This record gives sequence, C-alpha cells and structure tokens, in this order.
Amino acid sequence: MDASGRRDRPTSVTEPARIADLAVVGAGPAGVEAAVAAAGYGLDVVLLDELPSAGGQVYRAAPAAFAPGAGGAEAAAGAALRARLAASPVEVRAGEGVWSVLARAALRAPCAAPERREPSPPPDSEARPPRAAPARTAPPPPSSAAAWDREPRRAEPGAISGRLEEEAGFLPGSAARFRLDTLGAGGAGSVFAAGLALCPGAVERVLPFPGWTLPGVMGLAAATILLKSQRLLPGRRVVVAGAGPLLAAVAAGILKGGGAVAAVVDLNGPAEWLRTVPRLAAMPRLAARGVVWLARIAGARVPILFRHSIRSALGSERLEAVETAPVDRAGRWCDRRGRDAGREIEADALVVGHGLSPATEIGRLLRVEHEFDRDRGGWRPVTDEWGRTSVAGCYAAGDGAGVLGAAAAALSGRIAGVAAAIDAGRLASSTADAHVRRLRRDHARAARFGAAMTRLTALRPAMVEAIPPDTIVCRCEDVTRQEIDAAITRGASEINQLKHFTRCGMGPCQGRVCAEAAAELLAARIGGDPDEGRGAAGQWTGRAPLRPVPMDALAGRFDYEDLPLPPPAPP
Amino acid sequence: MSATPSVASAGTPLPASFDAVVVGGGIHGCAAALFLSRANMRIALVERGGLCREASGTNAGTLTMQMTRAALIPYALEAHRMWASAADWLGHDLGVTVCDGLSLAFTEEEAAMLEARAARRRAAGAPIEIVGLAAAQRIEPGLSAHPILASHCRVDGYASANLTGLAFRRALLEAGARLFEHTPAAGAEPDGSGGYLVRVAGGGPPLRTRRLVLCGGAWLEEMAGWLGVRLPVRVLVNQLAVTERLAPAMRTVIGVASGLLSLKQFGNGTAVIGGGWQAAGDRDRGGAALVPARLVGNLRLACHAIPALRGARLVRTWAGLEAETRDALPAVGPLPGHPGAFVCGGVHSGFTSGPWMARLLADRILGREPAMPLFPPDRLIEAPETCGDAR
Amino acid sequence: MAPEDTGTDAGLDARTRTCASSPRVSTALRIGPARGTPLTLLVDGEPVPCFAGETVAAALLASGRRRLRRSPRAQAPRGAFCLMGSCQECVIRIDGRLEPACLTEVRDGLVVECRGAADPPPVRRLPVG
Ligand SMILES: Cc1cc2nc3c(=O)[nH]c(=O)nc-3n(C[C@H](O)[C@H](O)[C@H](O)COP(=O)(O)OP(=O)(O)OC[C@H]3O[C@@H](n4cnc5c(N)ncnc54)[C@H](O)[C@@H]3O)c2cc1C
Ligand code: FES
Repeated sequence: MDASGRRDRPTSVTEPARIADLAVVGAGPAGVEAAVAAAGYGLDVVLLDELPSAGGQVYRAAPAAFAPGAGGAEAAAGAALRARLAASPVEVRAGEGVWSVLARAALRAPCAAPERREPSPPPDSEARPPRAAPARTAPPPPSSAAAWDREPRRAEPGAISGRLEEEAGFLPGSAARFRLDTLGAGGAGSVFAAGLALCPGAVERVLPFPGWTLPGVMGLAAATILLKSQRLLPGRRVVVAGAGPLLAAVAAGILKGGGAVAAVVDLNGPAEWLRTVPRLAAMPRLAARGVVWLARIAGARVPILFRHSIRSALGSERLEAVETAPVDRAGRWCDRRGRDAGREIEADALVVGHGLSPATEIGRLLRVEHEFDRDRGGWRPVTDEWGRTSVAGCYAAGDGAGVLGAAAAALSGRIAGVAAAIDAGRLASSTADAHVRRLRRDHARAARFGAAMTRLTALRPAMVEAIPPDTIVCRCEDVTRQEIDAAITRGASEINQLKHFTRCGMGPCQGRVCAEAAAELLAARIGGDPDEGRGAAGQWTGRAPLRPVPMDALAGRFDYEDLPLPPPAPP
Repeated sequence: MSATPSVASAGTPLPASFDAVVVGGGIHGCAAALFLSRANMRIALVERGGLCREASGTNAGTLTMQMTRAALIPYALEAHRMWASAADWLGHDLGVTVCDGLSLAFTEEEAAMLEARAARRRAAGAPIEIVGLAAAQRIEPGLSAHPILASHCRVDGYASANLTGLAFRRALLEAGARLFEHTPAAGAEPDGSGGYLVRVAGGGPPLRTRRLVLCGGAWLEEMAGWLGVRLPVRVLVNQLAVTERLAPAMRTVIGVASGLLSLKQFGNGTAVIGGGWQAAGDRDRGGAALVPARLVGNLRLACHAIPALRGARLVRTWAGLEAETRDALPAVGPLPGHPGAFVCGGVHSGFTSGPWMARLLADRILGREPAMPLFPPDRLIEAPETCGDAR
Repeated sequence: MAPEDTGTDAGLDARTRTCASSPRVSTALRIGPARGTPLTLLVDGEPVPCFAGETVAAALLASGRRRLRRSPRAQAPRGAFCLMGSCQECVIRIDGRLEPACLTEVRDGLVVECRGAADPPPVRRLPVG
C-alpha cells in the first residue's frame, strides 16, 4: 500500500462516486458468488473487500508477491473462485475497507424503526415487562408524537430530508438506496448502489481464560491465515485448542509446514464427533479432507486431549506454557484427581478458537432485524429464503447470515445474487424459481453439514460461567469479569447499558472480540434460559466507522473556507 | 467494590399513592427524583429504557459556559459548582474534570461573533476574557496556529456522560426512590381527587400519585399531550464522534465562536468531538444515521483546532436527541391548568445545567422558594386549535 | 531459502530467558522457500529482514517479536491475535500512522514502531462497584 500517496489524496467528499446496481461487501465465497450471479443477469456489480484479493478468509490467497507454492484443496478452490470472478464483469475493489454504510431511507422521516427491545429489568427495579418471546429485535410501531420537529432547524439547510439526501450524494430520481464509503490504498471513495449484499463472513469467538491476552495466544482462524496465506507457523511448539473442524485443519497444517504441535486440546469428545458422522456423509469430499488431517495428526503422535480445555495461558511477557484440564460435555471443569487432572504444556504459541459468529456490524448499523440462533453462531440477520433482510434492497448471505461454512456460503451467495436480479427487474421470479431449485437443494445439503460443524462449536454457557473474576473480558479496555459482574449488579440489564457502565466494547475492536462473552455473562444474570437471556441482553448498537479509521485519512487536506459550516447555534 | 445492591426496594409493596411520579429518567428526571426522595417524598421514577440512556447518557459531557445560552449562565454556573462537588451530593463519581475552556475564531467574522457572544456571557456572570493566539497557546499548548482570537473561560470542564445513569441509579436507590426502568409510560390522567394516574405499558395497575413531573426530554411534547397540553418541542439530532486513546494532545475544552465545535480529551486518552452538527433521526428512530460530509466537516474543524488529532483514529460516531422549545429557553415549572403537574426540560446545554434546574423545580414542588426564577412553560403552550397547521 | 530466524525479541524478559534453557524445536517459522523478494523493515530502529507479500504482523512474528504494544490500563503485553483486522491488537505505528499490522503489507524501508496504539497515559479508572 502506498501510504505516502494516500496522504496527498483529497477525501471522500470530493472523490467521484461510483454508481452501481449492486454493491457486495465481502469477497469470500458468498460475496463472490452473489456478485457473479447478479452480474450474470446484467446487473452492474461492485464487490468490495478490505483484503488485497478475493477469496475471503477460507480461500485466502497467498500474497501475489510470493512465488507460487504448493497448495491444497482449498488453494485450488480459491484459485477457481478468483478465476470465475476475473472472467465476470464484476468490478472488484480489493484492498478497500468499507468504513461507513448509509441507507438513504434513514435520511427520510420516518422509516425503518429503531431496534427497541424490552430487556428484563434489574432486580432492584420494579418493572416486570413481558419478555419478548423470540429473541428478536423487532421494530416498534411509530409513535404518534407530533411532527413539529421535522421543520428545518434554524434555517439549517439539510434538516429537510430531501436536502439531507442530496447532501449525502443521493441524486433526486436515482435508484440508489445505499451509500458505502471506503478507504484503501488509492485513498477514499464512495459507492452508491440500489442493492446491497452483506457477505462479511464471521468473526472468531474466543472465550476468555486467564492469560489469553499474552502475546503468543492467537485465534484458530488467525492460525489458518498464517499458514495458508503468509506461510508462517504460529510458533515453534504450538498448542492447538478449542472446538470444531478448524482444530484438525490447523494442527495438520502446522505439521505439514514442519512445525511441532505440543497437543490438540479438544472441547469435544469422540462421542460428539461421532454424532456428526451421518452429516459428514452429506459432504463426502469435505469429510475425506478431515480424514487426511486426522491421519497426519495421528502419524505425528500428537497427544489429543479430548474433552479438555485451556485453564490458563502462562507467561509474563509472552506465552511460555499452557495449562489444560478436563471438562464435561457442557464445558464445565471436572475436578477429577489423578492422571487426568490438569497438566502444563510448554509452548510458544497457543492457537485457540471456540467457533465463529456472524459479522453483523453493517446489518446492525442499518438496523436490519436480527435474531439469536446459537446453532448458527449467535445473532444473525433475519432473512427470507432468498436472503432478503428486513431492510429493502439489503441481502445477507454466507457465514454473515448464520455460520454454515464455505460450501453453504457459496450457494446462499448465489441465491442472494439471483434475488437481487429479481428485485432489479432483470428476472421474473417464476423463472428464477426454476433457476434456484437446484441451488436450494444443494444448499440444504451443505447446510446440514455446516450446521453439524457449527453445533460442535456452539457457545457453551458453562465456559463463560467459569471465567475467573480477575480475567480480562474486554481486551481493548482491560475490563475484567468482576467489573462486568459488578455493573450487572448495579443495574446494567442490556448490553449497551453494560457498555456505558464499564466501557466494555467501547475500545478499538468495537466490541467484536468481547461481545459473545459479555452478552453471555449478562444473559446468565438476567434470567430465563440462555437463549432468552441472550435475546434480552441484545446486541451492541451498530456504529460507524465499521473499523477504526485514521482521522488524517478522513480529514485530508482542506481549506477552512471550504468547510460546510452549518449556521451558528443561538447565542 | 461491594457486590450488594444498595436499597433494593423492589418487592416491598407499592404505596397506595406516591407523593410524586417522575416520568423520564434523563438528567432532569433523575435529579428531580433524587432531590424529592431525599426530602422524604415517596417517589417513583418511570423510564422507558435504562436511566440516562438518551441525551443524558449519550451527550458530549461538556460542562461549559461558552456553549451555554447567555440567559442560562447564572444557572449553569451554579450547576457547574454542583458537578464539581458531585462526589458530595451525588455520592458517585462521573469523572468530573474542571479545566480551562477556549472558544476560537478563525476568521474576522468569527472574531466579531466571538467578542459579541463573550461580552453577553460575561455580562451574565461567566468569567470569560478575550485573548490573542499566543496567550491561547499558553493556555492550550496543543492549539494550532489557525485561530486569530480566542475567548478564555476558567469555569469549564467535562464529565463522562456514559456514567450518568450508573451514578444516579445508585443514588436514587440509596435515597429510597422506586425505579420503574424499561417501563414506558403510556399516559397520565387526573385521578379525580386532585392527583394523577400514570399508566405504564406492560399491563400492571396504574401508579397513583399526588404530583406528576414530566421530564421527557425530546419526548416532552408527547407527555404534555397526555394532559391535553400542546407544548411544542423540536428535536435536534446532534452528532458526536470519539477517537481511540491517544497520547495527551490537549488539556482544555475547545469550542468555536459559532458553537459548532466541542472538543476535549478525556483522562483515558480518548477525544470526543461534537458541536451540534445535525444527523438524521427523529423521536421514533432516535439518531438514525450520520451524513458523511457533516462528519468529515466536524472532524476537520477539530483537526483545524488541535492538529495532533490527525494522528488518532476515529472509533465511533453516534447521534442523540436534544429537545428545543420555540424560544430555545427551558420549560421548567408548573403546567398551567393542571395543579400538581410539572415539566422540566428543553434546557440548552442541559447536561451542564440539568442538576441545578432540577433542584430549583424540586424546591418549588417542596414548597420552598427556588433560589433562581423558574422557566414557566406557559409562554410556550399553544392553543389546541393551532395544532393542525404547525405541521 | 528463508534466512535463519534471528530469535531476537524486544519483549524477552528475565522470566522468558529462564525458559529458553528448556528444549525447543528450533525451526524457523517461515514455511518453504516460495516467498517474495527479500526486503528490510525498520522496527524500532532495527533492521528486520522480511519478504515482499508478507504482512507487517507476519514479518514481526517471524522475527520473534510477539509483543507489539501494551494494554492501556494494565500495561500488559499484547500481540497479534486475530490476524484479520478485527481485534485491533496489532495496531502499531506504521510509516507514522496507526495501522493494523496484520492488514498492512511490508515495503522496503518501512518504518515501524511497536510502541502501542498511542502510548496513552495510564487510565484514570472510574469505579464500577
Ligand atoms: C449528542 C448530544 C450532545 C450533547 N452535548 C452536551 C454537552 O456537551 N453539554 C451539555 O451541557 N449538554 C449537552 N447536550 C444536551 C444535554 O444532553 C441535554 O440537554 C440533557 O441531557 C437533556 O436531559 P433530559 O433529562 O431533559 O432529557 P433525556 O436525557 O433525553 O431524558 C428523557 C428521558 O425520557 C424518557 N422517556 C421518553 N418517553 C417516555 C415514556 N413514554 N415513558 C417513560 N420514559 C420516557 C427517555 O427514554 C429519556 O431517558 C447534548 C445533547 C446531545 C443529544
Ligand atoms: S491481529 Fe487482530 S487486527 Fe491485527
């Protein structure tokens, strides 16, 4: 990236805007397929991703500067995906991070109503509102309050909604519903589009344990990126821990790369894995890959600790050892004495992951309706069978719409692409039904497999309950479990209130890393069953920027005289 | 850190009648409920969400004279004293920091505005003096060389607004107030014997009370409407932005003559940038979306004043709703024609002045002579017939 | 062929050194020879060899630098965690600007400072309990 070049660029305000039929955010399998499918029906599509090339996390490409090296099945699939994309008319904007998404409808009064839920009150509060039965964020009816406030404020020009739209770059009569603002190597840019497909993938869930903030402790997904894309071992002697198929993939990848795996620490036992066998049959090729991984791990005589978890990561300035101990099916520590009790394993890296959660930042920003579904990784946007969300023109596909894995993501992406074409009037829905019948069937099969894998990694509340009081939950702000507990005792009964009370989730990660643990801690205290609790605890309100952005890049260079200063406040 | 809640009144039977029901748990409602509870009144506070989660928890936290309307300066000065001693009367820390404040002018036109506005505020009692760039840079070493003139006020500062609800919640429980959180009030009506019935959503019997105190912020108009009173309140949708922590870049509260910038760096290193730039939103949706050009404009203004901010990263933006009356002056006092009913809101820079406004109203309700005149809403009330064409 | 891992670590302290006496598999972290052209980063003033195409985070990890910054409140050591631009643990000063090292590609002569997100002052904490 050419940072020096970037600095001399003007900013988004003056950058010419790109107008498209469909903007797709995220160039993983879902996003690429959605883009290619929609473009196939004649839509003008822009595909955006902050990574330098398409493929997403699963098919993450090795850097272009690397000489071509040996690649496995995934490398081949990734290359095929990129080739299809290159052959399509889709405009690919790789290396451009979307930092803001604005819905035109939000500039009009009134439209999609805000997320308002009725969280259960804290114990010293009097109210006993009826609990919202399904864990959903539903728009309330608009209030009947008078609309006097819709008059322009003190001759404030933009307060009239039409003017606001124009000021935000939505031309009168244009079909654009969304504005996306980007920052990348080439500077700032914006894209206006009638349709928006959200394919942002997932974020890894790592539940806190003592020492998880030490350098040398990394996510399992992080390890896959190092191995696949950077061709780097996470450490010389690595403990691979957590749950799900990534465990075997990462351990095998480390061994193949010539590294040592000190142990595989699996939350699940053979029984849980066996239960997935019928589902594996649905996707024989994927299942076969798993067998290869396991053979490699067995061949290297790597100890596999089934039904074990990480009790703590040890070290002062960096990871030195990992303490493991047995757990039961629910993830609770079993304090068995003797041989099977905790053990300490020397390691310079611990890669650990407890599953994936849909990345919902953009959906939350747009106030898309979400629902909590533990078996799909947590909060997900509510979609119809075409991937349409509750916001007109906005689609969601892939793991970002519920974690089901790469195979299902590609198919759901394609379906969403077809939906965008229908909604743009390029295709009759009767014709489309025939087009997608087969996609739907394939998707259902892939989804069964993906769901089995996601279920292996579903968040276990007992693991959150076991977080010791002085363990950091919010890494950005160094907020400990006991501080979160204290805030709940003090009356925080909903996750945004918890954020106000503790700063948990207010830091630069914008709550991505701590959300699951913080919400689960809250859910456990506000009662009901765990899923109801999560519904009542809610989600962080979506806020721009979607990732922290350098002020320098946003402010750019300007003349004071050119600032669009609104009229002064009253004296 | 004690893990036990202070006075958990929940569970004990509700009184047959409250002395006052306060509707709306922002700074005005919370402070009014607190002062009334401490005067041994039986108080219920009814809040639709959590306490201070609207304007009073999402505002910029500036405790400033330079953004306060001149007419409110005497009130804001008293309130500033209250904030500075919050540990004494509120009993809980909101991270109040008292520091110098500078308001800047970058052009000749702004300099004229600055001098005029400073003069009005000085006349109203604010210790503001005009200084040149060199003096301003001595007061604020982080300042750029762009300002041509500045006004300096020794009485300025800020608090962590996000902690307002936490602090008041604890104080209210300790004072014995009954909290009805996450409980939208659906209406209020006379109970036929000189008091009121407050209906709450979610079923439940209405709350009976001798007095009704409406503190609905941006929703005050709707609340007054329950009693058939038309009290128009318009809604400002103020945009705010906050940076990641950065090394100390400034030590004062910075504003501009026009009021379009409010900027300070908190003790934890984050800088909050505001100034009343308008976002999209309304009473039904809250702050719905920011307009990119306005965000960039606000950030540029901030960097123009404090260049070190360029090295920071923007982490979050949001918008909150502020209430403004027809004449942009407060509505604090008895609701005419409805004995026992009061309103408290529409206060410009209401986070700064809120506790003092609420104290004055509490004194009035308690039958004491308020230390300063109230702002009776009579002047703002419209006859019902004119409702239609106001739209 | 990848050069030998230098094994240096700005963050090594006494405790880690005692650990260094115990057996370790001594392999470089870089897998295989298929890499880009060799380049040099300047990390806190020291030259660090790396290869075109690597991210700054990967180059630092390969050079043995795991600690990238300190946390704001506990001043505890932190290193790259998610490697996908999500967690912001790897945000350091790259060419003068705060950037996530895991999303920034190396360039020859790039100046990198591992001092932390902004060297913020120790936080004044407000009590919650
Ligand atoms: C973004 C922003 C920045 C600001 N910055 C500053 C600043 O730096 N300094 C400063 O002095 N001032 C600032 N202000 C102004 C200040 O925040 C407000 O003047 C003040 O907080 C208003 O307090 P309030 O109690 O009247 O209203 P609010 O805090 O809005 O409280 C009203 C309450 O009523 C509740 N409610 C509404 N309807 C119902 C119902 N039917 N039943 C029950 N409850 C209901 C709402 O949920 C809300 O909690 C800012 C305002 C905003 C929006
Ligand atoms: S390691 Fe998480 S953002 Fe770079």
